Amino acid sequence: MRTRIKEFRARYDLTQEDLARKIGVRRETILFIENGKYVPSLKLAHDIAKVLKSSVDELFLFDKD
Amino acid sequence: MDGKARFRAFVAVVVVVLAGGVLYLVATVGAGVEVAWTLVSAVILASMALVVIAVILKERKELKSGFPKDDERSRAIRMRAGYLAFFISLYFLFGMSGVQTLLEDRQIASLPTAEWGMIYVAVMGSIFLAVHTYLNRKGVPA
Repeated sequence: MRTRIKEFRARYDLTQEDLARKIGVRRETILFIENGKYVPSLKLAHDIAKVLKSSVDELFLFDKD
Repeated sequence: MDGKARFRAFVAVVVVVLAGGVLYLVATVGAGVEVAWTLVSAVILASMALVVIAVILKERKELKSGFPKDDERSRAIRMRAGYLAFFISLYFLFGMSGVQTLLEDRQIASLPTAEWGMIYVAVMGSIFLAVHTYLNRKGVPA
């Protein structure tokens, strides 16, 4: 799984810490999701997408896509 | 229970345990127990205190950072580590019972059951810690 979270964060000038605070998770969780080392739950993916004014489809790219 | 209350409860338990340890040490010195054993107990108590101080400082720092102590990723890691530790230590338990049976068959002295139990718990705890640390660094497989 690849993500475009970093790209979207840069668009809104958000650091990993800012994003983590807005969603209510630890900073490491954002780091691991960005690096594709943790696949978030649908709820967390939705929360991230909401903060980044995007959609889950746009943010998370699976290799088969 | 919120983060601060949990932290205070943890500190209270730590203080009670360490105070109990100090009282035990004083009592053993008073009872005239061999000095070597008192020293061993003192070293164990000191190492417990050091670990606990490190944990308290880390927890305090995390509490101040404003991030939650645990979230879905840390819960996933804990669950995975617990699951693996349980099953790996079950295999260890089977192995241990085999060794015990062999020792009994050959009438070789073996450890008492309580001590085997302590070894089992120690192995289970170590596996949990090892897997937890590994998953925390390498990530949880999907």
